[in-house]
Amino acid sequence: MEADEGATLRDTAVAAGLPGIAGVCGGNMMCGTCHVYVDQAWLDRTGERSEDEEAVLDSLSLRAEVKPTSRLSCQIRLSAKLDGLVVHLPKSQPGI
Amino acid sequence: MDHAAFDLTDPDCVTTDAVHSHLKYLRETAPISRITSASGRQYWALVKYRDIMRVWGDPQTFSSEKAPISLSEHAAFDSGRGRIMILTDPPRHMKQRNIFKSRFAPRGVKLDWEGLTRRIARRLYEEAAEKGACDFVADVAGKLPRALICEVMGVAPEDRPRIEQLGDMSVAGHDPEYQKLLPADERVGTPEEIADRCQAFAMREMAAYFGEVIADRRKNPREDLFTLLANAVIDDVPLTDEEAIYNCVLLLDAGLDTTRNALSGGIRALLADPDQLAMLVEDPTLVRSAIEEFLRWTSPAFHNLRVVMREVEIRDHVFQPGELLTLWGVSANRDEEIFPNADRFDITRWPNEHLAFGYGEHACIGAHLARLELRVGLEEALPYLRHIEVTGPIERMRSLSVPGIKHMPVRFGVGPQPVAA
Repeated sequence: MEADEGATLRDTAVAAGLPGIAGVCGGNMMCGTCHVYVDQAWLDRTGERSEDEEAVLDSLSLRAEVKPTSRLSCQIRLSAKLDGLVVHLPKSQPGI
Repeated sequence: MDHAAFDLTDPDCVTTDAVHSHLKYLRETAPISRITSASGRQYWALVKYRDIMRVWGDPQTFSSEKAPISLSEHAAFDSGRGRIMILTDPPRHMKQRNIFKSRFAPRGVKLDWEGLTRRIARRLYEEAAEKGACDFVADVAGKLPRALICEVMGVAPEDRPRIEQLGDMSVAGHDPEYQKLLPADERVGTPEEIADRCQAFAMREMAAYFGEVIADRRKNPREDLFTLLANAVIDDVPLTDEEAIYNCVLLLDAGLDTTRNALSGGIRALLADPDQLAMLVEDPTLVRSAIEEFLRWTSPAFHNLRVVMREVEIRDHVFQPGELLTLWGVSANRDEEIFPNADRFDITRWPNEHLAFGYGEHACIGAHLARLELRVGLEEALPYLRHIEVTGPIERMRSLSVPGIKHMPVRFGVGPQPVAA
């Protein structure tokens, strides 16, 4: 996928029509349906989860498999240093 | 069981335990079926998890704004279309929800309200145990969500009893028990006419009250939701009084009976299963998955509606614009394709992808507040659970939308017992 500098991964995926990232709340960290597993090789470069993001992923863990590499893609802002970023999609996006 | 005679538009059918076997029958033989209300209105009934999730996930094709709010066919909320969040479509709907973004997030809800929730829950169980016997719904499960949402909204304590009664009337106007505030001269006519008048009365009374509070919060802002609504702006334009008032009613009502039903229905299921009850009391870390199962099992919001906006195909069936779809979340939550042993209440079930809070843009904004209330409501029950007994028949609310338990007589055998740390 091609992305604009500064766009979030979620917005980029939804604009590209990629199935598997729903982001139904419009990227407002309210729904948990933009869940991705960041590829281990890229984890350091994608930054840390905020406490709010932790709480959403914690809630999601009752409904889906949340891993140490889990992120909400609405919280990953893309830039040149993430060129080539690889993420893996979960089996489903039940949200929270 | 005579499935041909079962009527999904009749509260006397839907509020019985038979509803689950009927919905299972439909899932197996007619995943999309036609239903007709007493007034002759035609709807489609969708009962499969994936179909329902698909509809909820596409608000452009399946509108909330153009649909009635429920099969009850009462106009009380319908007049709020385009203003009340639950009956508003994109693009305005998401902007309305964003007003509340910070207030209902999982971390914020826990930080702001866990302490109060625990104090209230603990006191409710202590008082019930002291009395020895009570109505678990009226005295415990019902009081906790009511107290919380009134606090979060900012309802003054002296106003709460009336507001709570009006809330009941607007959601379950069908039920004679909740019609007592209606003036005697309006309690005439057919049950449907009385139910209509109940909801209209409740809406008028709540609108008057909320109108006063909103005006006050513009002059005297506080930290509550009334203040948030009173001063909210969308696209540089303040919300109208009407929009603010309608959403006050929604936020109040949505939290009153749904959470109550999940807690009382869940505890009832637990009390009927001594092995799981023991497992939970011995390992309180199971509380979080238990409450997800409470939600799946009770599905407090049984159904809602959408209107088809363009020709669309689901499962080889082509729907035309204008057709009305009823989505049975309660059925999605028992769908065998998604949930192994779907008919089994299992507090260790994982992953529990239930749709009790819906899905998509309109998914319950109060989900994390509800989960907090349920978690603490169950944690505070643990010291008593082994010795609570249901002592009489339960009574259900006569509602097609929220047909939960309204009375459950129980006995508390002993005071609080030590619980595993």
